Amino acid sequence: MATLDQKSPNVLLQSLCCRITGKSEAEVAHQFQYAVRVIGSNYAPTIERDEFLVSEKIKKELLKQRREADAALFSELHRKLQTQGVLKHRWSVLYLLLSLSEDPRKPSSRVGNYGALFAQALPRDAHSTPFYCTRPQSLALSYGERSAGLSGSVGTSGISSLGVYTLNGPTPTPQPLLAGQPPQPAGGGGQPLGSRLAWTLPVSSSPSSTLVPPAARPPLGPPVPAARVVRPRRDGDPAGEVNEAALVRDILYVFQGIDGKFIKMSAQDNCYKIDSKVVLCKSLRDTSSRLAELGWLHNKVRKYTDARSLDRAFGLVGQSFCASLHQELKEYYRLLSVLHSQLQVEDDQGVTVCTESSLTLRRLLVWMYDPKVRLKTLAALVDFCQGRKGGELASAVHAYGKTGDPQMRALVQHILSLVSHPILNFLYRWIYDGELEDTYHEFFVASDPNVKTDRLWHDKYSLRKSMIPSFITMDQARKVLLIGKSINFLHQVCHDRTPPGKITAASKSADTPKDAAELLSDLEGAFQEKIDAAYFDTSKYLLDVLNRNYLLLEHLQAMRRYLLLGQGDFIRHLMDLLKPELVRPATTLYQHNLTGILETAVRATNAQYDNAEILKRLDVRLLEVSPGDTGWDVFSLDYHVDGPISTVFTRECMGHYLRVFNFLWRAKRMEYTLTDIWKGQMCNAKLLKTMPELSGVLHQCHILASEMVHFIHQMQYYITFEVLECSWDELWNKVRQAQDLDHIIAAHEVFLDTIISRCLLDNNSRSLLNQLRAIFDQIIEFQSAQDSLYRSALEELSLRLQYEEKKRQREEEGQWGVTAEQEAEEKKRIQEFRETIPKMRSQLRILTHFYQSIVQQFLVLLMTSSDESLRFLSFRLDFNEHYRAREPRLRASIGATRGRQLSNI
Amino acid sequence: MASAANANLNAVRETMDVLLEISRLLNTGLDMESLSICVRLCEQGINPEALSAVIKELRKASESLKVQTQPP
Repeated sequence: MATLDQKSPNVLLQSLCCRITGKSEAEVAHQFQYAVRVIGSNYAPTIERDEFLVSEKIKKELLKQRREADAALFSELHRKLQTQGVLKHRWSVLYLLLSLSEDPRKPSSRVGNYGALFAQALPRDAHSTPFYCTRPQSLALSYGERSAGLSGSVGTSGISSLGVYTLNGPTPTPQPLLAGQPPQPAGGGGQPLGSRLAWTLPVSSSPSSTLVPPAARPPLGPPVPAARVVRPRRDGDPAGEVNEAALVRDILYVFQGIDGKFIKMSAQDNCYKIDSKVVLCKSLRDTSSRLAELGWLHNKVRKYTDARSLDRAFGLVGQSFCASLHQELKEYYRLLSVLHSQLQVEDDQGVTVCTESSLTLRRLLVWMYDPKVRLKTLAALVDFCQGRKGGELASAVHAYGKTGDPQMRALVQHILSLVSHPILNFLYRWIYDGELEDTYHEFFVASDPNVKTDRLWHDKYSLRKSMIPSFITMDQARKVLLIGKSINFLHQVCHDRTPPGKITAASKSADTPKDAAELLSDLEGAFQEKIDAAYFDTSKYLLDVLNRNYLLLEHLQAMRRYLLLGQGDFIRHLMDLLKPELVRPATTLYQHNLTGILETAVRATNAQYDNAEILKRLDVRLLEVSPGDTGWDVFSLDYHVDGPISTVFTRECMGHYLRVFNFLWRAKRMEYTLTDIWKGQMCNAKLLKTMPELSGVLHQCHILASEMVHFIHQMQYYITFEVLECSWDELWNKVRQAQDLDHIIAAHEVFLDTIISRCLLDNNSRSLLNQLRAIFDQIIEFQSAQDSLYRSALEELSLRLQYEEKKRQREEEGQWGVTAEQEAEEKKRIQEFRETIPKMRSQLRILTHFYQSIVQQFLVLLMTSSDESLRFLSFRLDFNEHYRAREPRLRASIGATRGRQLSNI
Repeated sequence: MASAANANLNAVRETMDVLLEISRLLNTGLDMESLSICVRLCEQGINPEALSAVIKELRKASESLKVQTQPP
């Protein structure tokens, strides 16, 4: 009593009533009602909340009564009260005391006729206590207001499918009609209760019958104890037939998945069954078992949501699915509560006979038809979505939306919009910020945290095929992947710190969830547009950064110029400088010497005007040395790639470049060698005219050399113009038109593949390449053979000239030019030399023969090749049909290929 | 802790004494228990005007009832 504990105002009021009237709680019910009403309706005080004013008023009052001493005493007491500070609302207490004060001199005015006051019915306050309504901060709302708020929100947000149905559906579902609302006359148009339930509700005209103490109102949800459920009217004949009202009550519990008195869950049959002991006519039994299906469906959905909503690993998509199911269930519960209250009203009226407006099983059957269809859909959905999560779940829901039934479609669409919301959130976060906040692996873009940044573009992100929702096409999904990947690439590899907002203009208007729901349902085009715009902007930005800051295109051109020998003057000069180094055995080569030579070559040629960034990356590389290799075999140019451009020029790509370079370098070397051979022939031709015995062998040399020059020229032409330039042009065009980095990478790979296969470096043309290598080897051999021929010839020539010179000198000195001995010696030497000539000739003949047979073999292989350009090469190599005349297989194969072509036509 | 609670209790008791004194001065006719209920209600922010009206009505009602029951 002394402590000011926070009891509910109601309890306090009630005890006050008891105290003042001196009666028990039951007797003061009317007074209590009244008190509650008065206090509730006068919540806001009309007077000033000022303690000082009130205390002054009290003093004045006391003075008026001529009690100065009391006034002084009051001041003293008031001061004491102020110092204590236990009370917060001192003015309020004081005001109360003041207004209760009575002048002791006046006669008591307490007697009056107030009996009528409480006899008055207070219909408006009979059920809902306004006191509650007006003090929301300390007390729960009355049910009436709460549900009104709910139904209001249903109407405005349009989320709930029930709300949609009541607006559009052909059979309006009963509106929430609550016991707390005032009973309306049947035709009362003021309330928007035009639903069927509204006018079937009984009109409770006598206010006294609706007067129920608030505490006795049945709560919703858990069943009221059986004592309340079973009304006396039913207890009359327990052994006899169960009446319909009892069944209806039972059914209402079954709807919520709670066992009723007669209808119980049967575990073995997994359905609700009417107790077999209950005597019941067949039609009622049938109807109620049909209604009981709702309970079963409800349980199914409920079980799913209960199991899943606690499961964190189920993910956000799953959670929103559960939430949407919950929403639907809530609508269902609301309907049940309406039915309950209807039943309550009937009971309170004490209706014993079934009037035409009471609840019957048949009526329930009709009213519950729509909810049943909805619950069925939900249950089917739950079944179908079992074990799915993330995008898969959304696909499953989407699949259910493809139905002709507009109501069902609306329901599924609604659920889908909720379910896809998290997915779209992921999506927008990904395409606008490049962030992947997918803790539960629900989104269709997967990230592999183990991948380092150098493989970020190729390996880090991938599509989870199963998680792509069916409303997003594969193409869109790929673009989405690419957009986010580009952003991440920019951030992590290019270290580009541009805020994502600047890359894409569209991200400014980043979507509100509402947009997201709409995007899915109807405006597919807008969604596509959004993705396209983001894709376009991001990719363009990425390419700009790569080209501007990382010189991607310049590097591409550098590859062409240096590794693919596009810069002719540089390559030629380099070869000139390298020649003395490279003829030495490979083991004696040192990289630093070669690097020095490379730099000299760069400085001396047009390469010096190239970008320093590019020249910095150019380097020499020595391949693995195998015994017997010369420098020519192991030398290679190299180009260092790192940072962002290594995404395009990957390790494999560089490997390919090295192989191609090797091939081209070899072919180039042949050209170079043949130039040397020709130079030797031209220089020595005049000198050796004095030795007529050599003319035959020299002629042979010339013929073979021309044959080789022709071959190599045609080869070089083919490589340069038909392989490199064509592919390069194609690549360049593609790169120019590329929209994203993937296009460039793909074009580049196509380019390399083409070159590799056309240069006979792939597996299919291994035999061709072997022949070509053999031809190259023959050329080298021929060079050495010719060199030795010229060496011995020139040696012989100089010896002869020496001999002649000596002879002339002696003659001038007046001696004999030659002695017989010397002459014999000279003749013998000449004879010996002459004898070596046939040997040379035969060696050359063997060489020629060998060479020609290899070329013929090569031509045969070219003929049978599937590549058109290679067949054309064979025509070019054998234009005058020189080889064809010698090789029967060539004739046959040409005929064969022609025949094949004809048959193809 | 206990002493603090005790002190609080004392303060509350004193306050109630003071209020009872004032009530007596003003001749409100409230006894200790009614007064304490009223104070609690006021502390919860109830409108004192309404409360006083209710109390007056209650008194009148009980008196009229007494009047009705006494004569026979």
